[in-house]
Amino acid sequence: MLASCSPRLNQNSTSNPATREVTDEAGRHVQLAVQIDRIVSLAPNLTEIVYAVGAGDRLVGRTKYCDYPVEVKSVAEIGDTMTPSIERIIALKPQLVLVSTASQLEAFTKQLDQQKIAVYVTDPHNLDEVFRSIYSLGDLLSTPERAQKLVADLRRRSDAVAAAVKSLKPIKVFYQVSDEPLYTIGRESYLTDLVRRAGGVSVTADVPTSFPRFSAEAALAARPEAIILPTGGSMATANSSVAAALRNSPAVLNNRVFKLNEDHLSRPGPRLVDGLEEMARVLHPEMLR
Amino acid sequence: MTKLTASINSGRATFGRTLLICAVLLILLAVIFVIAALLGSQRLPLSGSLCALAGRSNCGLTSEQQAILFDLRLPRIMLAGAVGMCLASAGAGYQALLRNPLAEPYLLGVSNGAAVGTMTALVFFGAHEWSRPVMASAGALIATLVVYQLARGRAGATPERLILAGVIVTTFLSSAIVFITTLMDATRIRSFTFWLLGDLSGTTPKLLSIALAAALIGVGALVRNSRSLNLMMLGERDAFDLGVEVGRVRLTVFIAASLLVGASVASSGSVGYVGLVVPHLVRLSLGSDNRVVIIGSALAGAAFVIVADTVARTIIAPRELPVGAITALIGAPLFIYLLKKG
Amino acid sequence: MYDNFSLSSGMLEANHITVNYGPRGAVVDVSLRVRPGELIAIIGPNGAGKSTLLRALNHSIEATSGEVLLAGRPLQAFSRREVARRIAVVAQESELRFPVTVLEFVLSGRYAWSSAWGWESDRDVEIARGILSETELEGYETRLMNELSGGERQRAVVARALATEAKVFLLDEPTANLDLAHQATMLRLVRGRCNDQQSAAVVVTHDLNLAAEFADQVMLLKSGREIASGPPQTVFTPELLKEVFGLQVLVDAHPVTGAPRITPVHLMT
Repeated sequence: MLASCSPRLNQNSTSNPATREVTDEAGRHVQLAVQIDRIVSLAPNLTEIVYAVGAGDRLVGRTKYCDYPVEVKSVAEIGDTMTPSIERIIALKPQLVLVSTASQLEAFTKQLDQQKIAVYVTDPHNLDEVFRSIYSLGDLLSTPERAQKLVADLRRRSDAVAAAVKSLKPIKVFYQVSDEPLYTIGRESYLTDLVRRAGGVSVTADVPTSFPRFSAEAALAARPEAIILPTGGSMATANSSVAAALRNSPAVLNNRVFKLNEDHLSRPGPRLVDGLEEMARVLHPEMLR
Repeated sequence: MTKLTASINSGRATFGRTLLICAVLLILLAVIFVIAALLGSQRLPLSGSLCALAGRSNCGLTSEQQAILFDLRLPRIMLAGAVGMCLASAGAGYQALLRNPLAEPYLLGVSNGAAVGTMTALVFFGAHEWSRPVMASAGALIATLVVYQLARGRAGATPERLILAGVIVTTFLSSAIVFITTLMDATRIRSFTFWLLGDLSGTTPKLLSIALAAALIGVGALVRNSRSLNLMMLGERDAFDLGVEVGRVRLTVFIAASLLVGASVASSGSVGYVGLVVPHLVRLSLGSDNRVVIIGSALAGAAFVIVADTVARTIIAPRELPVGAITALIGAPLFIYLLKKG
Repeated sequence: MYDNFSLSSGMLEANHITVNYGPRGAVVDVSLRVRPGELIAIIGPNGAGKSTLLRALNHSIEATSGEVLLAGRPLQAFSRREVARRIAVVAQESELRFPVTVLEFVLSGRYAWSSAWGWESDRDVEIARGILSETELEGYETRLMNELSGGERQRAVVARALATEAKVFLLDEPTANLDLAHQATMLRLVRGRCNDQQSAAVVVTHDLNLAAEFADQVMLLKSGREIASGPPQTVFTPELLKEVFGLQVLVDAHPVTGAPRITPVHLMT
């Protein structure tokens, strides 16, 4: 069905160069073609959103970490997230480049601007903002109904989790991003919100920034009841075990260390709700009964 | 007390004076060690901690406080001490041997050589921890010899030429590090900044004991050659005429310094400028006799890195900074000052 | 292991030394023997190989062929320490980048005698102080080497060589930075060691008159080859000096010492 759409869209774009102005999540004003046919994504979560809202066939470039859904493997690779190849991006003639945080932005925004390529930044700090990103991208890519339907579905599932854990006592969670050096999630991370929605409370919820380097003794002193280890992604072996400092924490002593699929948690896209459900299930096994 | 400081500050290096200096520095180090053990992102009860540090039981600490003090802080402080000892004494050794007050493991590219060695060990012998310091020391030695050969011109190794050679080797090896991290796809290898800035947070008992052992052996070897280094500092030809086996001393110092740098980099990355700041301050206050400078730098270096790491652990607690950021903040301005002074 | 043998037998002997050392300063088949109590001066124009020859005598420059004997044994049979206890060198100036006091500097001459852990004994300090007064450097003990004048520093370098208590001295232009009075003092010191302690000395110098006054033997060197050797009276002839330096000189006898006195003729025309 998607494949049949694209010839019509192509035709439209050549005959209709109309543009519109939108504001991205970094507060930048972006001039965009009304009809977008060529997209480059610089983050795996954005690639997943593009496919989920039904614009996957218009994706012409992706990073080497973009591996979901499997069809994306046939799309041209433009390097990794932090150091994409600008030449390749320009050669792909995209109308829109999607970027997940502002950090990688400044270096090449100017160069892309000169080529009349729009850069759109998403920067969600909680699950609602992730939903908003999905909806905005659906709108930009002219598939708002599909995005709306997706978001409604995701919201229904997250509400179900919220209902299930509502009356349960929150579990103190330490979320270990990496063990050497010790990194965790902070105030600004969407994962802090996710932990709360899953019936937990991050012991580092008040620490400034999104992914702070954290003191080992503070982690131990926080006495986490559960430790979440995102594994299976690119940091897999670097984060395969709990930091030595936490060996005597209640979480380890009570055998409550949970390895969850990193791809669901580290990518603020549609599959984040899978991560939410998985997290709720391990934190509150009693809710299954 | 004034008599004590007077006798430390003035005069020729004698055995008695050096012993006195070591005693004073050891006491200072012990005090700093205890203070560092009492500071951290978590506040521990003061009297209970002191009681526990004194080796007594039933000090009223909870098991967590006990764990924070003995499993987290003390090993880290000991590692900081070992790393400081290694880097400062290696710096003093390089400075005497190369007759250059700016010679420093980090600036010479020796630390980066050790980092490349460590990463190679991680890639090929990841399971064997001991392979890291071994490969790191080998990498440091190779980098040392390359810098030494590059710096040696027809007119000998001038300070500028040495620093230039160091810059070349440093940037080359930094690229090698970036290349390896990129190839390795970040798995099995700690973050890039770790290698370039130094970090004491993650260590294992095995790496800690290797670092401590290397510090003792390396410092011992340098101290053993410190009088010879005094003569070589006056010129290698003069030293030869006066009976120094210049080639043997040079090789010993290169190997000892590489062992020191390798052991510290394998356990903590490249903590910069320690080998510059500490020997400089030691020479400034105690004179430039290597029999004092090397052992003095080892002890003062331990104290310096323990202090720097305590700052790194506490200044934005419960977040942390890499210790190398603190040492570079102090060291880089000093380097510029020394360079300007010529 | 060689500590007990007598040094008085042959002192230092070089047989057929050849050093290939770049285009200038090479040495070709030079032999030399210095006996106890003897002072030999090596004379020649710049680039004649004087310093190279001197350096070859303690192996700080490796000879391409030929051998150096110390007390009848090849120099290789001695450790560096053993050589340094017997042969002291006064080199041309070296650069100092770290501050060191005069006493510390002179004490470094005691290196070859030091204990395993490298601390000077009271005797070392005593010897160094004695030599400081011999070289008119008393009161300079705590002065820094790099703050001395050229002449003072040169005296400290000679003092360090004397502090080794070596029996053979190799001096490379020891009077280069000295004023007239100190030039004579320096050579008199070395001469005194030869006379009183049966030491031996090889001195490279440009000062023909000082050589004539203080040396027992003179070797004339040109382009690395020995042109003539012998007592100053036989070597310092207008013919030989013309051959070596390409310069007309007048040689007469010093009115006080009776040693040959050399005066370049071009100054008088």
